[in-house]
Amino acid sequence: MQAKLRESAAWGLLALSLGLAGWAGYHLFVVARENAAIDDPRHIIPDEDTAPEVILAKAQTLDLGGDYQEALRLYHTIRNDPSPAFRQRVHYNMGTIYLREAASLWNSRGVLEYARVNALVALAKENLKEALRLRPDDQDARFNLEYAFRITPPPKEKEKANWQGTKSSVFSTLPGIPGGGP
Amino acid sequence: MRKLTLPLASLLAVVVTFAWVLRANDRTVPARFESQDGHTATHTMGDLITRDVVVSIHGGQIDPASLPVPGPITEWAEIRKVETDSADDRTRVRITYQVFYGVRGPETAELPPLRLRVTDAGGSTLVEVPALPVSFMPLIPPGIPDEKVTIRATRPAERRPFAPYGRWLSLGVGLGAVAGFYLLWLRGLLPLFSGPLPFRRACRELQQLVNQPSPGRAACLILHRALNETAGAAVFANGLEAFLTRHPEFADLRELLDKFFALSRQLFFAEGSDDGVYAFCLKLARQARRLERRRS
Repeated sequence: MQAKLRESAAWGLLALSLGLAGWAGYHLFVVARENAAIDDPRHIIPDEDTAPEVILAKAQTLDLGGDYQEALRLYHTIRNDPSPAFRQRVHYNMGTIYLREAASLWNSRGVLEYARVNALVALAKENLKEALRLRPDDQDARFNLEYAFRITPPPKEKEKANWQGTKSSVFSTLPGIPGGGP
Repeated sequence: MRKLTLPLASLLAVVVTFAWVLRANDRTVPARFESQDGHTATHTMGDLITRDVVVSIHGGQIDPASLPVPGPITEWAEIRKVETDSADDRTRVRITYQVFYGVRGPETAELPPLRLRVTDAGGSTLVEVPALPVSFMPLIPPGIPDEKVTIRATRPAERRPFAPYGRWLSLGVGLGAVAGFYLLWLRGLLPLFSGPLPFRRACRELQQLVNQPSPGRAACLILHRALNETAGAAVFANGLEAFLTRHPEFADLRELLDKFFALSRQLFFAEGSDDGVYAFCLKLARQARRLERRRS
Protein backbone atom coordinates (compact mmCIF):
# COMPACT_ATOMS: atom_id res chain seq x y z
CA MET A 1 0.00 0.00 0.00
CA GLN A 2 2.77 2.35 1.01
CA ALA A 3 4.77 1.39 -2.05
CA LYS A 4 1.79 2.08 -4.29
CA LEU A 5 1.34 5.45 -2.65
CA ARG A 6 4.98 6.28 -3.28
CA GLU A 7 4.74 5.20 -6.86
CA SER A 8 1.60 7.31 -7.38
CA ALA A 9 3.31 10.31 -5.80
CA ALA A 10 6.30 9.81 -8.09
CA TRP A 11 4.03 9.67 -11.14
CA GLY A 12 2.25 12.82 -9.97
CA LEU A 13 5.54 14.63 -9.47
CA LEU A 14 6.74 13.46 -12.87
CA ALA A 15 3.56 14.75 -14.55
CA LEU A 16 3.78 18.07 -12.70
CA SER A 17 7.42 18.61 -13.53
CA LEU A 18 6.88 17.69 -17.17
CA GLY A 19 4.04 20.20 -17.32
CA LEU A 20 6.23 22.87 -15.75
CA ALA A 21 9.09 22.09 -18.09
CA GLY A 22 6.74 22.17 -21.09
CA TRP A 23 5.29 25.53 -20.09
CA ALA A 24 8.72 27.06 -19.47
CA GLY A 25 10.09 25.53 -22.65
CA TYR A 26 7.26 27.01 -24.71
CA HIS A 27 7.93 30.46 -23.27
CA LEU A 28 11.64 30.11 -23.89
CA PHE A 29 10.87 29.20 -27.49
CA VAL A 30 8.64 32.29 -27.85
CA VAL A 31 11.29 34.54 -26.29
CA ALA A 32 13.99 33.09 -28.53
CA ARG A 33 11.81 33.63 -31.59
CA GLU A 34 11.10 37.22 -30.56
CA ASN A 35 14.76 37.89 -29.90
CA ALA A 36 15.60 36.61 -33.36
CA ALA A 37 13.00 39.01 -34.77
CA ILE A 38 14.45 41.86 -32.69
CA ASP A 39 17.94 41.10 -33.99
CA ASP A 40 16.79 41.17 -37.59
CA PRO A 41 13.38 42.84 -37.93
CA ARG A 42 13.64 43.61 -41.65
CA HIS A 43 11.27 40.87 -42.70
CA ILE A 44 8.77 41.36 -39.90
CA ILE A 45 5.31 42.48 -40.95
CA PRO A 46 3.79 43.80 -37.72
CA ASP A 47 0.24 42.83 -36.87
CA GLU A 48 -1.89 42.74 -33.73
CA ASP A 49 -0.08 39.70 -32.37
CA THR A 50 3.42 41.06 -32.85
CA ALA A 51 5.22 41.67 -29.56
CA PRO A 52 5.68 45.39 -28.75
CA GLU A 53 9.48 45.03 -28.48
CA VAL A 54 9.57 43.55 -31.99
CA ILE A 55 7.48 46.47 -33.30
CA LEU A 56 9.93 48.85 -31.64
CA ALA A 57 12.80 47.06 -33.36
CA LYS A 58 10.99 47.30 -36.69
CA ALA A 59 10.26 51.01 -36.16
CA GLN A 60 13.90 51.62 -35.26
CA THR A 61 15.03 49.86 -38.43
CA LEU A 62 12.58 51.85 -40.56
CA ASP A 63 13.77 55.09 -38.98
CA LEU A 64 17.42 54.25 -39.57
CA GLY A 65 16.48 53.41 -43.15
CA GLY A 66 14.99 56.87 -43.63
CA ASP A 67 11.28 56.00 -43.41
CA TYR A 68 10.68 57.96 -40.23
CA GLN A 69 6.97 58.51 -40.92
CA GLU A 70 6.24 54.78 -41.03
CA ALA A 71 8.44 54.41 -37.93
CA LEU A 72 6.33 57.02 -36.12
CA ARG A 73 3.15 55.25 -37.21
CA LEU A 74 4.45 52.04 -35.63
CA TYR A 75 5.55 53.87 -32.50
CA HIS A 76 2.04 55.26 -32.15
CA THR A 77 0.65 51.72 -32.01
CA ILE A 78 2.77 50.81 -29.00
CA ARG A 79 2.98 54.06 -27.06
CA ASN A 80 0.25 52.97 -24.60
CA ASP A 81 1.98 49.74 -23.60
CA PRO A 82 1.34 48.88 -19.92
CA SER A 83 5.04 48.66 -19.08
CA PRO A 84 6.26 52.14 -18.00
CA ALA A 85 9.89 51.35 -18.88
CA PHE A 86 8.93 50.29 -22.40
CA ARG A 87 6.55 53.25 -22.82
CA GLN A 88 9.36 55.54 -21.74
CA ARG A 89 11.63 54.27 -24.53
CA VAL A 90 8.84 54.64 -27.09
CA HIS A 91 8.19 58.25 -26.08
CA TYR A 92 11.90 59.01 -26.05
CA ASN A 93 12.33 57.64 -29.57
CA MET A 94 9.26 59.45 -30.88
CA GLY A 95 10.35 62.73 -29.32
CA THR A 96 13.85 62.32 -30.70
CA ILE A 97 12.59 61.65 -34.22
CA TYR A 98 10.31 64.70 -34.13
CA LEU A 99 13.18 66.77 -32.76
CA ARG A 100 15.61 65.56 -35.39
CA GLU A 101 13.21 66.49 -38.19
CA ALA A 102 12.46 69.85 -36.58
CA ALA A 103 16.16 70.62 -36.15
CA SER A 104 16.90 69.62 -39.71
CA LEU A 105 14.21 71.94 -41.02
CA TRP A 106 15.08 74.75 -38.64
CA ASN A 107 18.77 74.66 -39.43
CA SER A 108 18.26 74.42 -43.19
CA ARG A 109 15.18 76.57 -43.86
CA GLY A 110 14.78 78.68 -40.73
CA VAL A 111 11.60 80.71 -40.42
CA LEU A 112 10.52 79.73 -43.91
CA GLU A 113 9.32 76.49 -42.35
CA TYR A 114 8.03 78.19 -39.23
CA ALA A 115 4.73 76.31 -38.98
CA ARG A 116 6.20 72.86 -39.53
CA VAL A 117 9.12 73.43 -37.22
CA ASN A 118 6.80 74.71 -34.54
CA ALA A 119 4.52 71.69 -34.83
CA LEU A 120 7.42 69.22 -34.83
CA VAL A 121 9.08 70.88 -31.84
CA ALA A 122 5.80 70.84 -29.93
CA LEU A 123 5.43 67.10 -30.60
CA ALA A 124 9.06 66.52 -29.64
CA LYS A 125 8.58 68.38 -26.36
CA GLU A 126 5.39 66.52 -25.55
CA ASN A 127 7.01 63.12 -26.06
CA LEU A 128 10.29 63.94 -24.35
CA LYS A 129 8.43 65.40 -21.37
CA GLU A 130 6.42 62.20 -21.10
CA ALA A 131 9.66 60.21 -21.28
CA LEU A 132 11.03 62.30 -18.42
CA ARG A 133 7.86 61.94 -16.40
CA LEU A 134 8.30 58.19 -16.66
CA ARG A 135 12.04 58.29 -15.97
CA PRO A 136 13.29 61.61 -14.61
CA ASP A 137 16.96 60.56 -14.61
CA ASP A 138 17.08 59.88 -18.36
CA GLN A 139 20.00 62.12 -19.34
CA ASP A 140 19.47 61.71 -23.08
CA ALA A 141 15.83 62.79 -22.82
CA ARG A 142 16.89 65.80 -20.72
CA PHE A 143 19.50 66.79 -23.26
CA ASN A 144 17.16 66.46 -26.23
CA LEU A 145 14.34 68.30 -24.47
CA GLU A 146 16.67 71.19 -23.67
CA TYR A 147 17.67 71.28 -27.31
CA ALA A 148 13.99 71.32 -28.27
CA PHE A 149 13.57 74.43 -26.14
CA ARG A 150 16.64 76.00 -27.80
CA ILE A 151 15.29 75.59 -31.29
CA THR A 152 11.73 76.58 -30.45
CA PRO A 153 11.06 79.34 -32.97
CA PRO A 154 10.31 82.72 -31.43
CA PRO A 155 6.66 83.76 -31.59
CA LYS A 156 5.94 84.94 -35.09
CA GLU A 157 5.25 88.61 -35.21
CA LYS A 158 1.79 89.53 -36.29
CA GLU A 159 1.81 91.02 -39.76
CA LYS A 160 1.09 94.69 -39.85
CA ALA A 161 -2.01 95.88 -41.65
CA ASN A 162 -1.13 97.18 -45.07
CA TRP A 163 -3.90 99.71 -45.14
CA GLN A 164 -2.65 103.21 -44.60
CA GLY A 165 -5.15 106.06 -44.78
CA THR A 166 -3.95 109.25 -46.40
CA LYS A 167 -6.95 111.32 -45.66
CA SER A 168 -7.80 112.68 -42.26
CA SER A 169 -11.41 111.59 -42.28
CA VAL A 170 -13.36 108.83 -43.87
CA PHE A 171 -16.04 111.35 -44.67
CA SER A 172 -13.69 113.00 -47.08
CA THR A 173 -13.79 109.82 -49.15
CA LEU A 174 -17.56 110.03 -49.65
CA PRO A 175 -18.48 111.10 -53.10
CA GLY A 176 -19.91 114.61 -53.28
CA ILE A 177 -23.06 115.57 -55.03
CA PRO A 178 -22.31 116.75 -58.51
CA GLY A 179 -22.71 120.44 -58.88
CA GLY A 180 -21.90 121.10 -55.27
CA GLY A 181 -25.46 120.64 -54.06
CA PRO A 182 -26.22 119.83 -50.41
CA MET B 1 -13.86 86.64 58.45
CA ARG B 2 -16.10 88.88 56.39
CA LYS B 3 -13.16 91.19 55.99
CA LEU B 4 -11.29 88.47 54.16
CA THR B 5 -14.14 87.24 51.99
CA LEU B 6 -14.19 90.14 49.58
CA PRO B 7 -10.43 90.24 48.82
CA LEU B 8 -10.40 86.46 48.36
CA ALA B 9 -13.34 86.59 45.98
CA SER B 10 -11.67 89.41 44.06
CA LEU B 11 -8.44 87.47 43.82
CA LEU B 12 -10.28 84.40 42.59
CA ALA B 13 -12.11 86.46 40.01
CA VAL B 14 -8.83 87.93 38.76
CA VAL B 15 -7.23 84.48 38.46
CA VAL B 16 -10.23 83.05 36.60
CA THR B 17 -10.34 86.03 34.26
CA PHE B 18 -6.61 85.75 33.57
CA ALA B 19 -6.90 82.04 32.81
CA TRP B 20 -9.85 82.65 30.49
CA VAL B 21 -7.97 85.39 28.69
CA LEU B 22 -4.94 83.12 28.27
CA ARG B 23 -7.11 80.33 26.90
CA ALA B 24 -8.86 82.70 24.57
CA ASN B 25 -5.48 83.97 23.39
CA ASP B 26 -4.40 80.41 22.75
CA ARG B 27 -7.42 79.77 20.61
CA THR B 28 -6.89 82.86 18.59
CA VAL B 29 -3.23 82.17 17.68
CA PRO B 30 -3.58 82.12 13.92
CA ALA B 31 -2.19 79.40 11.72
CA ARG B 32 0.86 80.72 9.93
CA PHE B 33 3.62 79.83 7.50
CA GLU B 34 6.82 78.93 9.30
CA SER B 35 9.46 77.92 6.80
CA GLN B 36 10.32 76.27 3.54
CA ASP B 37 13.62 74.86 2.43
CA GLY B 38 15.93 77.12 0.49
CA HIS B 39 16.94 75.22 -2.65
CA THR B 40 20.33 76.71 -3.18
CA ALA B 41 21.34 73.92 -5.55
CA THR B 42 21.02 74.57 -9.24
CA HIS B 43 18.78 72.41 -11.30
CA THR B 44 18.69 71.19 -14.86
CA MET B 45 16.04 70.10 -17.29
CA GLY B 46 13.73 67.39 -15.95
CA ASP B 47 14.87 67.61 -12.33
CA LEU B 48 12.56 66.65 -9.50
CA ILE B 49 12.45 69.39 -6.85
CA THR B 50 11.12 68.67 -3.41
CA ARG B 51 9.71 71.63 -1.51
CA ASP B 52 9.02 71.22 2.20
CA VAL B 53 6.62 73.79 3.62
CA VAL B 54 6.07 73.88 7.38
CA VAL B 55 2.87 75.47 8.67
CA SER B 56 1.89 76.08 12.32
CA ILE B 57 -1.68 74.95 12.63
CA HIS B 58 -2.41 75.31 16.40
CA GLY B 59 -4.90 72.51 16.67
CA GLY B 60 -6.44 73.08 13.26
CA GLN B 61 -5.87 71.16 10.09
CA ILE B 62 -5.08 72.00 6.53
CA ASP B 63 -8.14 71.88 4.33
CA PRO B 64 -7.28 69.14 1.80
CA ALA B 65 -9.11 71.11 -0.87
CA SER B 66 -6.56 73.91 -0.53
CA LEU B 67 -3.58 71.60 -1.09
CA PRO B 68 -2.02 71.77 -4.53
CA VAL B 69 -2.92 68.91 -6.83
CA PRO B 70 -0.61 66.99 -9.17
CA GLY B 71 -0.48 68.40 -12.68
CA PRO B 72 1.01 71.31 -14.62
CA ILE B 73 1.19 74.61 -12.72
CA THR B 74 3.25 76.75 -15.08
CA GLU B 75 4.60 76.36 -18.59
CA TRP B 76 7.73 74.79 -17.17
CA ALA B 77 6.76 73.11 -13.89
CA GLU B 78 4.47 70.30 -12.87
CA ILE B 79 3.50 68.96 -9.48
CA ARG B 80 4.14 65.23 -9.34
CA LYS B 81 3.28 64.41 -5.73
CA VAL B 82 1.87 66.10 -2.59
CA GLU B 83 2.30 64.58 0.85
CA THR B 84 1.39 65.94 4.28
CA ASP B 85 2.78 64.94 7.63
CA SER B 86 1.51 66.38 10.93
CA ALA B 87 3.35 66.40 14.23
CA ASP B 88 2.41 68.47 17.31
CA ASP B 89 1.12 71.80 16.09
CA ARG B 90 2.96 71.73 12.80
CA THR B 91 2.13 70.26 9.44
CA ARG B 92 4.76 69.60 6.84
CA VAL B 93 3.55 69.73 3.25
CA ARG B 94 5.99 68.07 0.89
CA ILE B 95 5.47 68.94 -2.75
CA THR B 96 7.48 67.24 -5.47
CA TYR B 97 7.77 69.26 -8.66
CA GLN B 98 9.28 68.34 -11.99
CA VAL B 99 10.73 71.20 -13.96
CA PHE B 100 11.11 71.50 -17.74
CA TYR B 101 12.87 74.82 -17.94
CA GLY B 102 14.99 75.26 -21.05
CA VAL B 103 17.83 77.74 -20.58
CA ARG B 104 20.89 78.78 -22.58
CA GLY B 105 22.75 80.07 -19.53
CA PRO B 106 22.27 80.24 -15.76
CA GLU B 107 18.84 81.60 -14.91
CA THR B 108 16.57 81.87 -11.92
CA ALA B 109 12.85 81.28 -11.94
CA GLU B 110 10.25 81.01 -9.22
CA LEU B 111 7.94 78.23 -8.30
CA PRO B 112 4.62 79.99 -7.69
CA PRO B 113 3.37 80.88 -4.20
CA LEU B 114 0.84 78.68 -2.44
CA ARG B 115 -2.24 79.53 -0.44
CA LEU B 116 -3.24 76.94 2.16
CA ARG B 117 -6.43 77.09 4.22
CA VAL B 118 -6.22 75.94 7.84
CA THR B 119 -9.53 75.19 9.52
CA ASP B 120 -10.26 74.87 13.23
CA ALA B 121 -13.23 75.27 15.54
CA GLY B 122 -13.03 79.03 15.28
CA GLY B 123 -13.15 79.15 11.48
CA SER B 124 -10.50 79.11 8.81
CA THR B 125 -7.27 80.98 8.18
CA LEU B 126 -5.46 81.46 4.90
CA VAL B 127 -1.74 80.83 5.04
CA GLU B 128 0.35 82.40 2.31
CA VAL B 129 3.47 80.49 1.30
CA PRO B 130 5.87 82.65 -0.69
CA ALA B 131 7.23 81.75 -4.12
CA LEU B 132 10.35 79.59 -4.18
CA PRO B 133 13.27 80.82 -6.28
CA VAL B 134 15.00 78.07 -8.21
CA SER B 135 18.16 78.47 -10.27
CA PHE B 136 18.79 76.59 -13.49
CA MET B 137 21.84 75.63 -15.50
CA PRO B 138 21.86 74.43 -19.09
CA LEU B 139 22.89 70.89 -19.98
CA ILE B 140 24.18 71.95 -23.39
CA PRO B 141 27.31 74.04 -22.89
CA PRO B 142 26.66 77.72 -23.63
CA GLY B 143 28.30 79.07 -26.74
CA ILE B 144 27.66 76.08 -28.99
CA PRO B 145 25.56 77.13 -31.99
CA ASP B 146 22.27 75.27 -32.36
CA GLU B 147 23.29 73.67 -35.63
CA LYS B 148 26.43 72.22 -34.01
CA VAL B 149 24.54 70.42 -31.25
CA THR B 150 24.31 66.68 -31.80
CA ILE B 151 20.98 65.24 -30.76
CA ARG B 152 21.14 62.09 -28.66
CA ALA B 153 20.24 59.05 -30.73
CA THR B 154 17.11 56.93 -30.54
CA ARG B 155 17.34 53.69 -28.61
CA PRO B 156 17.24 50.22 -30.10
CA ALA B 157 14.84 47.52 -28.98
CA GLU B 158 16.04 45.43 -26.08
CA ARG B 159 16.25 41.68 -26.33
CA ARG B 160 13.75 39.99 -24.07
CA PRO B 161 15.34 38.23 -21.10
CA PHE B 162 15.00 34.48 -20.82
CA ALA B 163 14.42 34.83 -17.09
CA PRO B 164 12.49 33.49 -15.31
CA TYR B 165 11.63 30.76 -17.81
CA GLY B 166 15.13 29.30 -17.75
CA ARG B 167 14.91 28.75 -14.03
CA TRP B 168 11.44 27.21 -14.30
CA LEU B 169 12.64 24.90 -17.04
CA SER B 170 15.60 23.82 -14.92
CA LEU B 171 13.31 23.22 -11.98
CA GLY B 172 10.87 21.21 -14.10
CA VAL B 173 13.62 19.11 -15.67
CA GLY B 174 15.27 18.59 -12.29
CA LEU B 175 12.07 17.49 -10.59
CA GLY B 176 11.18 15.30 -13.57
CA ALA B 177 14.58 13.66 -13.44
CA VAL B 178 14.24 12.99 -9.71
CA ALA B 179 10.74 11.55 -10.17
CA GLY B 180 11.89 9.51 -13.17
CA PHE B 181 14.90 8.09 -11.35
CA TYR B 182 12.73 7.25 -8.38
CA LEU B 183 10.26 5.40 -10.59
CA LEU B 184 13.08 3.53 -12.33
CA TRP B 185 14.55 2.64 -8.98
CA LEU B 186 11.15 1.45 -7.76
CA ARG B 187 10.94 -0.86 -10.76
CA GLY B 188 14.49 -2.12 -10.39
CA LEU B 189 15.61 -0.62 -13.66
CA LEU B 190 18.58 1.19 -12.17
CA PRO B 191 21.25 -1.50 -11.67
CA LEU B 192 23.76 0.94 -10.17
CA PHE B 193 21.45 2.07 -7.43
CA SER B 194 19.21 -0.92 -7.04
CA GLY B 195 21.27 -2.72 -4.40
CA PRO B 196 21.11 -6.52 -4.16
CA LEU B 197 18.39 -7.92 -6.40
CA PRO B 198 18.55 -11.67 -5.94
CA PHE B 199 15.73 -12.55 -8.32
CA ARG B 200 17.12 -10.29 -10.99
CA ARG B 201 20.41 -12.13 -10.77
CA ALA B 202 18.55 -15.41 -10.64
CA CYS B 203 16.78 -14.56 -13.88
CA ARG B 204 20.10 -13.86 -15.55
CA GLU B 205 21.61 -17.12 -14.29
CA LEU B 206 18.53 -19.09 -15.30
CA GLN B 207 18.72 -17.73 -18.83
CA GLN B 208 22.26 -19.04 -19.07
CA LEU B 209 20.94 -22.57 -18.40
CA VAL B 210 18.62 -22.56 -21.35
CA ASN B 211 20.80 -24.80 -23.54
CA GLN B 212 21.76 -27.31 -20.86
CA PRO B 213 20.33 -30.86 -21.18
CA SER B 214 18.52 -31.08 -17.81
CA PRO B 215 18.57 -27.70 -16.10
CA GLY B 216 15.79 -28.43 -13.57
CA ARG B 217 17.97 -29.09 -10.53
CA ALA B 218 20.29 -26.20 -11.21
CA ALA B 219 17.31 -23.92 -11.75
CA CYS B 220 15.81 -24.96 -8.43
CA LEU B 221 19.11 -24.31 -6.67
CA ILE B 222 19.35 -20.85 -8.20
CA LEU B 223 15.81 -19.97 -7.08
CA HIS B 224 16.45 -21.35 -3.56
CA ARG B 225 19.54 -19.20 -3.35
CA ALA B 226 17.59 -16.12 -4.44
CA LEU B 227 14.88 -16.82 -1.85
CA ASN B 228 17.43 -17.36 0.90
CA GLU B 229 19.28 -14.20 -0.05
CA THR B 230 16.07 -12.19 -0.04
CA ALA B 231 15.05 -13.56 3.36
CA GLY B 232 18.55 -13.36 4.84
CA ALA B 233 18.17 -16.96 5.99
CA ALA B 234 17.32 -20.34 4.55
CA VAL B 235 13.66 -20.55 3.53
CA PHE B 236 11.88 -23.89 3.62
CA ALA B 237 8.36 -24.87 2.74
CA ASN B 238 7.19 -24.62 6.35
CA GLY B 239 8.78 -21.17 6.66
CA LEU B 240 7.02 -19.77 3.60
CA GLU B 241 4.30 -17.97 5.59
CA ALA B 242 6.88 -16.28 7.78
CA PHE B 243 8.78 -15.23 4.64
CA LEU B 244 5.63 -13.75 3.06
CA THR B 245 4.83 -11.89 6.26
CA ARG B 246 8.23 -10.22 6.19
CA HIS B 247 8.08 -9.69 2.42
CA PRO B 248 4.45 -8.94 1.56
CA GLU B 249 5.46 -7.78 -1.93
CA PHE B 250 5.69 -11.48 -2.85
CA ALA B 251 2.25 -12.31 -1.47
CA ASP B 252 0.82 -12.65 -4.97
CA LEU B 253 3.30 -15.47 -5.59
CA ARG B 254 2.09 -17.60 -2.68
CA GLU B 255 0.64 -20.36 -4.89
CA LEU B 256 3.64 -20.38 -7.22
CA LEU B 257 6.06 -20.52 -4.28
CA ASP B 258 4.07 -23.41 -2.74
CA LYS B 259 4.25 -25.21 -6.02
CA PHE B 260 7.97 -24.45 -6.30
CA PHE B 261 8.71 -26.00 -2.89
CA ALA B 262 6.65 -29.05 -3.85
CA LEU B 263 8.50 -29.42 -7.14
CA SER B 264 11.84 -28.98 -5.43
CA ARG B 265 11.01 -31.63 -2.82
CA GLN B 266 9.93 -34.04 -5.49
CA LEU B 267 13.01 -33.36 -7.61
CA PHE B 268 15.61 -33.65 -4.88
CA PHE B 269 14.06 -36.20 -2.51
CA ALA B 270 11.77 -38.31 -4.69
CA GLU B 271 14.00 -38.34 -7.75
CA GLY B 272 11.19 -36.93 -9.83
CA SER B 273 11.46 -35.86 -13.41
CA ASP B 274 12.68 -32.35 -14.12
CA ASP B 275 10.41 -31.90 -17.11
CA GLY B 276 8.98 -28.38 -17.03
CA VAL B 277 10.85 -27.49 -13.84
CA TYR B 278 13.19 -25.12 -15.63
CA ALA B 279 10.35 -23.27 -17.39
CA PHE B 280 8.44 -22.99 -14.14
CA CYS B 281 11.48 -21.66 -12.27
CA LEU B 282 12.15 -19.11 -14.98
CA LYS B 283 8.53 -17.90 -14.88
CA LEU B 284 8.59 -17.64 -11.08
CA ALA B 285 11.93 -15.81 -11.10
CA ARG B 286 10.65 -13.28 -13.63
CA GLN B 287 7.53 -12.51 -11.58
CA ALA B 288 9.57 -12.26 -8.40
CA ARG B 289 11.99 -9.89 -10.17
CA ARG B 290 9.15 -7.51 -10.94
CA LEU B 291 7.98 -7.58 -7.34
CA GLU B 292 11.24 -7.42 -5.44
CA ARG B 293 11.75 -3.67 -6.04
CA ARG B 294 8.48 -2.93 -4.32
CA ARG B 295 10.01 -3.71 -1.01
CA SER B 296 9.62 -0.79 1.32
